[in-house]
Amino acid sequence: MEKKRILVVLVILFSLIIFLNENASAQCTVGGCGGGCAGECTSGTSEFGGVCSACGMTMRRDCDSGGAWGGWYCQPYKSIPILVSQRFYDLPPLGDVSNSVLTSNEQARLLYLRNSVIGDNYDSLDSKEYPSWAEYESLAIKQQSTYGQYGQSCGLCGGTIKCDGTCSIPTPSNYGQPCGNQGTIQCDGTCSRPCDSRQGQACGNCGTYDCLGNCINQGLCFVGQTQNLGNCGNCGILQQTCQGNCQYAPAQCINQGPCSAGQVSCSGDTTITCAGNCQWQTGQNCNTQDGWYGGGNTQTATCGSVDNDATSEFRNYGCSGGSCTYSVTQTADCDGSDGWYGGGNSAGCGSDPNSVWNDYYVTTNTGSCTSTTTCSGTGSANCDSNDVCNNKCEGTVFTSVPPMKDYYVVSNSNSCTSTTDTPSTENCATKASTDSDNSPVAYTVPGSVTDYSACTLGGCTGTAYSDSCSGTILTEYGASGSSFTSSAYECQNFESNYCSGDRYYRNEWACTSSPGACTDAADTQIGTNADGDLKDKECGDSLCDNAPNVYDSTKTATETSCADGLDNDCDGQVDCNDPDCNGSVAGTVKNADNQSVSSASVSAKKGFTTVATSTTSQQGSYSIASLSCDSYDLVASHQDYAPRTQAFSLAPNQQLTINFDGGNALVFGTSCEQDCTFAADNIIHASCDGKNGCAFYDSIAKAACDNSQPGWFRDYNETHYVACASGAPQPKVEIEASLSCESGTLVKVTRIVIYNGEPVKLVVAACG
Amino acid sequence: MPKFKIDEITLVLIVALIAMVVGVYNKTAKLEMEAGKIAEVILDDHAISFVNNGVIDGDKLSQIQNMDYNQFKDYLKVKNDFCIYIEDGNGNILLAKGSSKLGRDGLYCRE
Repeated sequence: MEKKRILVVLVILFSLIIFLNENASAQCTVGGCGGGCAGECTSGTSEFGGVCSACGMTMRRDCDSGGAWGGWYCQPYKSIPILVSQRFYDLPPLGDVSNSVLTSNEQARLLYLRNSVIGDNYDSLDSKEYPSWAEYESLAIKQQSTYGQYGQSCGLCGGTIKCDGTCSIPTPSNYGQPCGNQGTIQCDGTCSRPCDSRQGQACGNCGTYDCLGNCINQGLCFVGQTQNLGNCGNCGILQQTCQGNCQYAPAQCINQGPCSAGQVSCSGDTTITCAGNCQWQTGQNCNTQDGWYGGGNTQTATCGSVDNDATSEFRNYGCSGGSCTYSVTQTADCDGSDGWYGGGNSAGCGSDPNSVWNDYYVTTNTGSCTSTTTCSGTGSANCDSNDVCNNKCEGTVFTSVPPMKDYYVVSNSNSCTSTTDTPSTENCATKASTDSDNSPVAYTVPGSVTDYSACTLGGCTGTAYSDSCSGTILTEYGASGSSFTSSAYECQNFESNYCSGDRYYRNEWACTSSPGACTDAADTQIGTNADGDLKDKECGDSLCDNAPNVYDSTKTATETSCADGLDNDCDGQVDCNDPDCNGSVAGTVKNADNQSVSSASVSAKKGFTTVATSTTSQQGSYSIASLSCDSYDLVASHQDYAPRTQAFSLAPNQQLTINFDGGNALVFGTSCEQDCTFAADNIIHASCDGKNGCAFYDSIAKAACDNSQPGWFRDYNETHYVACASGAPQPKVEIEASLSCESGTLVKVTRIVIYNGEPVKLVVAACG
Repeated sequence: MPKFKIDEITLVLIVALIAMVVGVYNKTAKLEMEAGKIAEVILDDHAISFVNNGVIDGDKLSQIQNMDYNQFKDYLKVKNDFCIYIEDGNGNILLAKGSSKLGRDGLYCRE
């Protein structure tokens, strides 16, 4: 069995080998073997096939030395069946002769030989043809030489030789030659390296790009560039600036200060010094040194002799040459007042006042005089020691008894004199009081009133009442017969305001001393100088002294800003309170029929206050020319119409137009509205029935609601009521009030109120 | 002469009667104060007042009518139940608002 299987396989395998061998032998026998079989052709012969695509060449294969055909290839000439021994080459088709490298004569000759001598059947032994073969061969060879080079590389530009012998890509005659600075000339005639695309454009500092992209012909600097070369002048900088041509301009000294360091000068009455930064620096205000200099009690006085104390001078300082200098405008010397002061005769034969030597001198650094009683020697004189008096005092009655000499010092001297009085008797109780200031109204003179009431041997004596102060109130005493008077006087009544130069002062008064008197006190500067120019408004400076934060330099002719809180033009009126900011309102007033309403009053109101009013013209126009910027109600009214109000805000200087037309037009006061009231009231009018949407339920309801108000209830009949004006009759619900608590006590509180136009009881019942 | 004598029971009754009268009086006084307080709030310039210068404001009255009774009571800050009603000149009830505990015989306060 196994052997049978092996046998079958071997039989199959053997059959397959045989089949293959039979097919292989068939190839060599059918169709001349197809190439590659030895002995299939005669060595040295060629076979020609179809036409190749290029240049009309012929397909050809050659039989090799082994008698086998080689592969097909394009023969560079047309197939011509000639003998191998003749070694003639075929000619190309006649039409291709013109494409050959032959000259026109050679082409014509070749065609002649081909067509007229040789013809289609070649026979080199033909006596007619034979003589022409050499010429024919040479022409053919020449022509075929071209075909032989077909497809080969030619030129330097990558071309190949075409059928006509020319190169498919010609090489320029100047190929490879230098091309300026752009390399060499290429096959397409261009230069191998193109110029930079920016060539000729500006670059750098006024330069331009060249072909290679280099920025050439640049200047030294870029425009506007500055270069500091050092310091110069008054703290200046020597600087040169690059001009438009990128070249530096001549250097200039800039940013110089107004002065050179260390320089001194004056600015008005103030010294100024040039600081290290060459800027003026304010120094000393020389005016602060103005004042009195010198004076004082420089000599020891000798009683009775005028001395020579130092004088004082008033120096008015100013600035000159950068330093403070002064001129003496006033001097003071008080020595002329040196002398005896006091003395005199007192009433009666008794003690008389001394006289005293006063040495006057100028108070140091002032222009005022003062005095001292300090002097060497006897500075006081009294003559009372010489008196001869024989007087009597009986009760209040004083009697002088001669001889009587009353010595006293002559006033303002140191010499004695005396009186020789005649005998006299006086009742001190009735003696007229005396007032040292001689007046009950001498408020500025300190004084005392002596009210005599008793006597001594020297004469009448009494009680002294001195003028006195309490605050600024002076109690002034005056003699009045044998008695006295007293009155209070306010010393500030003497006060007054005045200008001194440009400043405004109040002349202050006080009540001082004892005995007291109204005295001039140190004055107070009370002027208005809001602009800080040291000139008070009260003294003629009208510029901005009443306008805080506005100065002469910032003052404007009108209120330029109406919302900055400043009185820009210093007229005392700020922002919208200044008429400069006023605006206006104008417009027209029309009625609901779009007809102009003349003689209507148009008022701008603030609350209930009418600010401005205008009356409409025949054309219904109105104009309120000047109105301060604010918010208002604009009310248009006319006797025939219901008033109409429009709220508006007027901006500064705004020219506002507000018309009463369209929805804001005036309507007749008696015109009916939807709720059956007139436009001018809130009363329901039966006459409105059917007008402008007003409708009553019926004539009964109309009559019931006439003269009521919207929402009121009115009896329609015995059983129904209507809600005015348009309500339908509703049945009356008559529920009598009967209230009780489920438990506890019921308390009711009743108030009478109005409900729907009728008085009703409002009852509050509480249960508990 | 017969001696007037109050026995203990009578004394207790008298004291109880006095206490009851005083209690009722105090209670009534408090209720009057509370009712008066409600009336003043309603008539005064108060958030829930619906009477202005003696004239009832219909809109505000409507709001009060629609308000929950207990909420209204809280607004008024009163302890006892109450009823507010409007009575016309003929004694008819036009509107009522308050606790139903006070209603009877046709007057129904709506809570």
